[in-house]
Amino acid sequence: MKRFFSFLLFVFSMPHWALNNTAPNANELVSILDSYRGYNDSGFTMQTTTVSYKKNRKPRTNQVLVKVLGDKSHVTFESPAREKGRMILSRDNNMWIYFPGTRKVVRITAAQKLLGEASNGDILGTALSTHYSAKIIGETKIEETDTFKLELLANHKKASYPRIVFYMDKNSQHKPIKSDYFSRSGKLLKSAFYKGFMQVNGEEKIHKMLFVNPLIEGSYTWMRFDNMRKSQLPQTLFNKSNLVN
Amino acid sequence: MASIARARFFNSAFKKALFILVLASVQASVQASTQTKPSNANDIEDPFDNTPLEEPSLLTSQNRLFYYQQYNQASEGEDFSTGQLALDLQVQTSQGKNWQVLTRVVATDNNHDDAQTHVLEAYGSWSSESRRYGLKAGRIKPQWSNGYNWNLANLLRPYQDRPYLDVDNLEQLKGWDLIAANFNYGPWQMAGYVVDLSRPGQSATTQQVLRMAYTGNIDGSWLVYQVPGSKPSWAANMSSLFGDHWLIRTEASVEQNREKSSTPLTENQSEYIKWVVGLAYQSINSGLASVEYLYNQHGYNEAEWAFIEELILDGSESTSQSQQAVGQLRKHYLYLQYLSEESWDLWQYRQSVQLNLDDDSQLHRLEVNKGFNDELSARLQIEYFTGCDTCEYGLAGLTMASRLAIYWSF
Repeated sequence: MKRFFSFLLFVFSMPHWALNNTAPNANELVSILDSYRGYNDSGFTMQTTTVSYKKNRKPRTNQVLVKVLGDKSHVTFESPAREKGRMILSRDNNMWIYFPGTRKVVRITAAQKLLGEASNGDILGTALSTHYSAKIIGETKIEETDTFKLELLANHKKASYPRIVFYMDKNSQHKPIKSDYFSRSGKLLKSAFYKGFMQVNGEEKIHKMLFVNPLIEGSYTWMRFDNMRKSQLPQTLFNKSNLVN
Repeated sequence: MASIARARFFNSAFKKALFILVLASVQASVQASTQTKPSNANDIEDPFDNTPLEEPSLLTSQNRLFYYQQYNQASEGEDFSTGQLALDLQVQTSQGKNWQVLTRVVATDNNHDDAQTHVLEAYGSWSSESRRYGLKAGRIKPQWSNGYNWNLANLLRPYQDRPYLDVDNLEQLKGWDLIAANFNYGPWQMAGYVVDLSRPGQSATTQQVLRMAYTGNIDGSWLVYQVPGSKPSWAANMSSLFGDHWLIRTEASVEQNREKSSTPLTENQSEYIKWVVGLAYQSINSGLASVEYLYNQHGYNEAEWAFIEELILDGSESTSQSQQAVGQLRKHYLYLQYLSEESWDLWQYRQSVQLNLDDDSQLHRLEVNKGFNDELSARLQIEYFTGCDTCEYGLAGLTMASRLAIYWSF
């Protein structure tokens, strides 16, 4: 009986495309991607740990608390100690940074979204289906896995990356295996490898990612997402005036 | 004799510190330039263990212990040094989603003989479940300005912000005793503040501010400030992006009272305008460059300044008083700044200059920041003053000042 209920639970937790034999279309694959990355339009919170490496250098680690609601996000730095309490508010393409020492909130440019090995753009941008048009452009094998090659082109100039190519497992779960991020000039900026998944209230979410800089040997970044959960986040949390007194 | 020996010692120490910082920077950039080949993702080891991460604590603290030593090269030959040890403690706790208490206390020891403790902030706040309504009471430091160098929208008195003159002066971060209520609606916020103004020579006991703010592609705010029984002052600001790399910001204030004391040549006037416009460019790899222009109607005009110059030359006007007064002495200023990106080895370079366009005096500042690990960081700062003896930055009485500050965050 217990097994039967487990089976039922498994079946009902599966997306509809997994229950029929037709291959998902590009838009469905993007929705699946978004579901692995967050909770689409529902608010959620998570902790992100980032460890960045560079050849012959000491790795750098930081930890942030992230609150996301649609295209808005609120990031609080928990470590390292010298950056603790710093906050970044992001609404669409607008970003502000709060410095706890001086209590100042300063607007920063969209270009700063792309700074760093694993940039704010990677942490904050979740709703791919809102900002990108998708097309399946082929199938290929990545790390021994058969994948769909899904091309995402930005619908507007404000997206963090104008082109992203995802490689998604062809099996029923369609987990992302790898993604390549390109600049406006078409240059490959970084590749992401999806290294671990976790169960959050019966839904599968990304747990670990590895970003590799293809241009610099030994330059890569690990990201781990923890304590992800849905949360009733009020719109006013993402108001600049509420960052400071 | 002792002061000359001490000055030589600090001069020598600063030169050594600067040499070490520059040498380490060059070494880091040479190492970084040797990396050119791609890596294989499968060979990269996962640094994380499987221990679940602890939930964020409801009690958080941000604390800092720092020490700086400054060597001042005085224009009149009497060089001297100053120093400060400071402990900056901030504790914050939340009760559910609605209640929060914050305390920030600082203890400073200037030149090892003048220990002082200040409560910079101590307040409680409440917000409704939806965060539509909020209340705060206690000592709070509101920051309404949005700029790099001049904070025109911070209208509360006494005015304490002097970031360009001393970034390590924590007393400028002391809040005001106030009660505040706010109402949020989407990207809009309306807030009212009643702030204590009890101080000698002041008949009114409160000052009040009403502020409306908007967060969006163009964000801005509008403030009305009033001391009961007097005409209101106001301020407004806005900032916006232009493409991925540019941002513009502007800010203005109209105040009833002049920041500077009057001279016999001062004409009767009731409203004094200040406005600033600034532009910044962010490069992905090369850092941030910004420029700001300030027009300050509070400042002295040519005729008034000629009168003040006479007083200074007669010795009846203290230059230190002129310098320490609120605001700027003259009418037209320019500020230029370059800030590099923080390097992998936690180096950062900042160079800025503040120009008084009325008397051509200048204050140059060069800063090198270095993080040694997650907790320890340092800043080497060199300031260079130019201008005649009765020009604004000549009045400082310094030709050069250098400061080495060490910060330990915990």
